[in-house]
Amino acid sequence: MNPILLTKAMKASISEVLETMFFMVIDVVSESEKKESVPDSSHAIGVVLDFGGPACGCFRLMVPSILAHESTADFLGIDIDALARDDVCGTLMEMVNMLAGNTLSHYDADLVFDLSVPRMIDEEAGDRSPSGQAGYCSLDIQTLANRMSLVVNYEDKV
Amino acid sequence: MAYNILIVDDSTPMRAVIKKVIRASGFDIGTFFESANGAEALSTLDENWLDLVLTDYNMPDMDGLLLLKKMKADDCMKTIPVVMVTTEGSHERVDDFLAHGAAAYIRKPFTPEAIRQTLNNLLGEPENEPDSVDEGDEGLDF
Repeated sequence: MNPILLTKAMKASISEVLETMFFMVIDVVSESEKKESVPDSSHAIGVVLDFGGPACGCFRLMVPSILAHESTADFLGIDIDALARDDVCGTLMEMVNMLAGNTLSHYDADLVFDLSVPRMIDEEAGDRSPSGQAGYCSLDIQTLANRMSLVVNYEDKV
Repeated sequence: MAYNILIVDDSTPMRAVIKKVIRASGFDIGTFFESANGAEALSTLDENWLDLVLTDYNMPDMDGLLLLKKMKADDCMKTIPVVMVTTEGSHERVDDFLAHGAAAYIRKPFTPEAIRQTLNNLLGEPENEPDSVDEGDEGLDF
């Protein structure tokens, strides 16, 4: 995959999905624009979605817990205190599903990719970032008070 | 006339959002049915009278395209309009949905207006006025 085109597709997808369905005011921070401030990965909730097709890999979304709860409340239109864990997990899985589908469509709508069903990241169970894949693109997404990250690891099929 | 609508999506939150949008659109809704995949949807369709199906594509057990194909191959189900609501945006897949008889295609992320407009096209104008939609810091109140 072309990393420049992929980054461009990720940015377009992030804006569309988060602004349209989660009502977020966001600023996308790319790898080269990142300064010293890094997202606080403690108390973050992670979801991952694998994809296959002309290239394979995965999308990994890490969201601070408080932002995950706020986003879920906004998405479902219910009070944050009324949220169940399943609401938050289900919403984050839908978020990564939309981010992934839209990114790949923006990347090249003439290619057909297969998306897996998203799953929660369980780092204690060894569900860590893949290390053997050829390329990756990483973007931080700055909201008014928090920052989350979207990483795509990919490998082109020969 | 009250419409019975089936929403097929493996995401419970997404089903809830679609339901809220439709409710707020002013259509006279009889019953909302929900299924988490195509296989569940076929059971629901076997047992109930449905006027419209909105389905995701990417689901475990049976995806939305296979559900569409099975519905169009069934004499009792083939006339029920099926709307694909999915993140799938590749030209080939969208062409596939329409070639197999999907009545419409809505790409996620969607606006409430996109759902409302599609339902207007398929069901006619709603009997009631749509709810007002307020967009602000608190989010969109469907």
